[in-house]
Amino acid sequence: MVLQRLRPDLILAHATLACLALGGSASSAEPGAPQESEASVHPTAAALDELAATEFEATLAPYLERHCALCHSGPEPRSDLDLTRFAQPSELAADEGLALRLLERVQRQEMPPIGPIPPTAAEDAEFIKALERLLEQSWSPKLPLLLPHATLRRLDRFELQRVLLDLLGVEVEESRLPTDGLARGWTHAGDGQWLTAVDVERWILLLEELALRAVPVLDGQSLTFAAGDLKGGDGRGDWRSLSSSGSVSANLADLRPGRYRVLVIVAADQAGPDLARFGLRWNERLLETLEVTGADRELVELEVELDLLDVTPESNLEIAFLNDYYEPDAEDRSERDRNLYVSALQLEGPLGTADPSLFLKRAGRLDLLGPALAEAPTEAVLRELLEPLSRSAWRGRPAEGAEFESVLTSVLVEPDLGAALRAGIVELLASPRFLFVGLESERSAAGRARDLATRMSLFLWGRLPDDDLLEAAASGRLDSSDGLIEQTVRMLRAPDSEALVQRLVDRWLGLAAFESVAVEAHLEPALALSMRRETELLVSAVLREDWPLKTLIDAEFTHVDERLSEHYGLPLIGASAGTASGGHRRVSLAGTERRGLLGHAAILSLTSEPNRTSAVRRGKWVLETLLNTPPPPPPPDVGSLDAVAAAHDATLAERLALHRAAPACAGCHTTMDAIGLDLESFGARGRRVPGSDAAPALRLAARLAGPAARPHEPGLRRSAVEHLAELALARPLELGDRPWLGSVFEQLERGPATLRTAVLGIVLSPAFRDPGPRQP
Amino acid sequence: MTLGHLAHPVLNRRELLAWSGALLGLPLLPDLATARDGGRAFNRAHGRVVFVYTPNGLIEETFRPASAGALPEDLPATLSPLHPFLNRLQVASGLTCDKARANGDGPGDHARASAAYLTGVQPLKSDGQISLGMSADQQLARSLLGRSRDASLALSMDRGRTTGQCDSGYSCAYQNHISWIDDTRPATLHEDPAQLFQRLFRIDPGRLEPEQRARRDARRERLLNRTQELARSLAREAPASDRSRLEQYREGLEELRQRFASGGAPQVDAEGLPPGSFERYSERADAMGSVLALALEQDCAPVATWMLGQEGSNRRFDELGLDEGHHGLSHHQGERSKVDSLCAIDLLHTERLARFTADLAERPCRDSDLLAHTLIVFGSGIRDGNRHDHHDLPVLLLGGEALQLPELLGRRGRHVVHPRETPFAGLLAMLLDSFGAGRRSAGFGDAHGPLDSAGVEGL
Repeated sequence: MVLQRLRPDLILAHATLACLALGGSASSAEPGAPQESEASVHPTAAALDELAATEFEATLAPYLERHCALCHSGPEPRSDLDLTRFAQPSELAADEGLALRLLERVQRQEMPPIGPIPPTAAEDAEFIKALERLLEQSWSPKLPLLLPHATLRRLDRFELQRVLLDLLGVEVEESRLPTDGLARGWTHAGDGQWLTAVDVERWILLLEELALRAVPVLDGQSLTFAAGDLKGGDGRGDWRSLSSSGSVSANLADLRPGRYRVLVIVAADQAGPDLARFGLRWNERLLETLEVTGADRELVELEVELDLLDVTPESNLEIAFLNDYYEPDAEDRSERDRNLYVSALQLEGPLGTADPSLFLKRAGRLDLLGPALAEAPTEAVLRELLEPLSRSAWRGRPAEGAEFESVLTSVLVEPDLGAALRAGIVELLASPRFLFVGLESERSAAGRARDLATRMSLFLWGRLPDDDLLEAAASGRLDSSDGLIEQTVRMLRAPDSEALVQRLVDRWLGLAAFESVAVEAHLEPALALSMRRETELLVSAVLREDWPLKTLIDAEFTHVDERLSEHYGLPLIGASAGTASGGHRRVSLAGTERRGLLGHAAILSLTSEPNRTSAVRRGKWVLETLLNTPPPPPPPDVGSLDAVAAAHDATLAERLALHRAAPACAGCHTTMDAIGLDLESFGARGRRVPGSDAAPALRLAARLAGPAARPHEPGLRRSAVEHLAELALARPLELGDRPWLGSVFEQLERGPATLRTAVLGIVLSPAFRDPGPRQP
Repeated sequence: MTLGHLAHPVLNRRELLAWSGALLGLPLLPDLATARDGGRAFNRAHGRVVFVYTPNGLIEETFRPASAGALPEDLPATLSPLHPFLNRLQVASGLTCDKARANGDGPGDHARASAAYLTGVQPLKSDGQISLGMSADQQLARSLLGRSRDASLALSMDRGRTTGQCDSGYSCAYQNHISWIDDTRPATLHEDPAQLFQRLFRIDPGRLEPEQRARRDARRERLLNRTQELARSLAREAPASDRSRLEQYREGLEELRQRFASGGAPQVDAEGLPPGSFERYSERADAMGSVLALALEQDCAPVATWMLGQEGSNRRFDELGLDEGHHGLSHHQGERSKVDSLCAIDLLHTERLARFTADLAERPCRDSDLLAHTLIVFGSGIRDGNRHDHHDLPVLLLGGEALQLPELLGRRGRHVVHPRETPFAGLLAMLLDSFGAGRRSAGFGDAHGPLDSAGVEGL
């Protein structure tokens, strides 16, 4: 952002073209943003300019001026591309996407086209060399850093769902949470988020509802029916007796529907081979059968939980005697007659869900669920239950703080404990301290450590820090690299890191869109799910089993369930049952033409049209996702529709060739289409096309998985690191990030080149550990 | 005539005729005092406006009447469901949404179409940054604040969430929203009829005893005040870029506080509660329409936008037996079968519009019906999905006869053809002005002023 203020010319064009989007958040455009003094300098850019000045002035700038400016300059440059706007080498390096395309097109001798003074081969070579060097220098870990400020963010829907389940034990439908915005495809980045009054309203009302689910209201919680209140049978003092088949019943016309704990106090005259049995019937439907286990006329208390729903004015809960027995001739008088006596019926509820309150259960206070909640609140109990909640929800902010105390005071005015607890839950979670991330840092070192713990846990687990991590933050262990490594390794190992896998699959690999693609393509929902699962399991394996990163592309194994193996025509024989996960088993792909992600049905379907394959989309996906060199949107002067319309009788390959013939299209389509056409041996749903040649697909995978010439070279490694970094930092990456990113690339170069190395590199980076003070 | 005439203290016959539009046949002739301010006060007190949006354009040959003037008895196929409202309908042709065009920004016609439709502003092309402007419905709603619990309702048949970049380098938000609160924030969508019903009519769960209600209200007041206070103090300490995030939260809390303070929701029969899920798109849309009709009847909100589909929607209409999605089909390249499929989709959409219109017409309101008090503006920011063009947009005006509208908006039973390149935003400007929601004779978006009747055919 500082960069943006200093060099507004940089963001004028091509912000979307660059792999590392320059500029970034909308925030800096706002009035009142702190103004840097004119004299302040972008240290990364300045150092790079110094380093590259000679070559820029001797080679790069003159070449662009001499051979490109004729078309690409002035008020209306060709393809909206002004190549004379770079005053400093850092400006050219910053727009890496553009620099890379320049390299490619000069290398392929597509540009510059024949002009008045065409460049000599030597000039071309010199230009290429100089530009490559400039890019390499821009990734040097030796350059000084300038870490941009990340716009304040809030928890997104993905995180809120997990966090609310953790804190309150309740599940929330995604659509009921505040709307996610999107920035560069991420929902958690502050610069893409907003809140409207409707969002806030939904949020507060949702919190009220969740509090009610966490601490249910138990009105009518203890309905007791003494013998005299029951109907049916014969009344005998404290008993209603049933001497033959029949029932006694309690009218429950006003019952709140829900699950109830039902206590029946009964006794029996036992006779015959069986114990006396009775059924509990609701609206004439038998819900439960119970045996009276006591000896003759011994009082027995039997308890069950019943769902008493569909309450009508006629609703009755019946106790029905089921196995009357009468042998008047039996020798033993006590064995002649079996009778049932009902003394009382008691209902407690509604209990909410099957597990009445996970919130109270986790706190070890299920005992409160009942009359205790209706009693006046006491400070001790409120403290006992709300302190741990505030600790988690406010990420370890000390509970003795004034804010917590004032919540406590405020809810103590409630008439009963239940209401006070619910109000407390709403207050704690409505606080900006819960919803927003990163408010603690400016206060103190302890606050910075808590924010760091929160960043780690949201990054690795998609949830708030657990006690262990908070403890590490409080004790200063996160200040040391060892402490950070220890926690990161622990967290990556935990099943919760599945959240990281999910987000990478959704955002990096783009499968967030898969669900709607699957619907459009008429994919059977179960099959679509197992396709997605296959991809998740590969990423999960690469993350947790420390496979080299390139395994994503060249894995000679995959995970399929029966449905998917049938879809692929891949036998499940030899599958190891040991790695079963949701029915998926690991199978070897040796002897097949499938390798890694490019053999995954989810990816191949995602990049197809509903009814046919699309070489362009597949090529674009590979460039964007695996190589991290997204092609720019078609330039404004492209006349695509008419050309394609004119040729709509042509075959796909012919149409693509026609498209590439236009110079404005060729730059990207040459590469994109070639990659896509290599994958034509897989159909629109990832099946092998019978009789097609799979060799190009195998060669493509091998090529993409091959080693990079330089640590920072665009490719899988960079794509993985940059996506992880955007997830971790919740902001766009900028020129000032390159030095630390460069050092992560070098770590990966030294090996092991795994996702874990990348994650550790990011967590240990200055950008993640200390994003800098937030100046008011 | 232009709206400049409205400032005139005396109404002449022509003006009266113009202002009362087509409603002379109805027993609704406004008294002259009302008419003298152009009926703005009346409109502000009783008028409702609903913008219904349909994505990917419409097939022209089955939509647009052959000539300007009185609408024919045999309406074009797509309009045929609206036949019962022939005399309450205006087809408006010739209107253009220029800011939906590339204007140097390259591809992205879908994103621009929905973004520019009600704003008249060219959206900023950037992934991650949004910059647009307030939409006409929001400007109108803002000027009517205080009349009802909600200012404007934004409805959509699609979940807002989509992934990554949407149309050619534009933020997804542009395609998902036509209603914009300010430069950077779209209005939050209601996508589920049942949830919308709950929100509008069941904000009070169950019937609370007065004492319980008082306690709950006090609790909410405490919560909202305290949380606002904290948000405010945190915002003070925050950098400018972060301050706006906290401010948005605080403003939302304040609006909610006022909403709570304004009293309980209108009580309506639970019969209006739609089911939680639907098999067909059309059933879900009709349910959405009836909740909206109920909301308008109860005056929950005077203004609403309703997207029958997000722009560029590739919804597959299984109920029509179609294999390909809407957007895919819209690139029909003249292929007959695709064009026929699109006509079927267009018809499905105007049938929803007709159902909604009929619903309004069946609800009494004052001395006529709710439809007479509701101006429906139906249209798309794209003319032809195959060409992605933004001139001569398909636009319909329905109902609103009881309102005091200038002739160009109020005339019914006609196909009105504006001169080429007349900005659609001029219609919005005129609409805003007749509600006193804009400066008189001021423009809106890319329109320098309200519509002008010069050169208009078919009036």
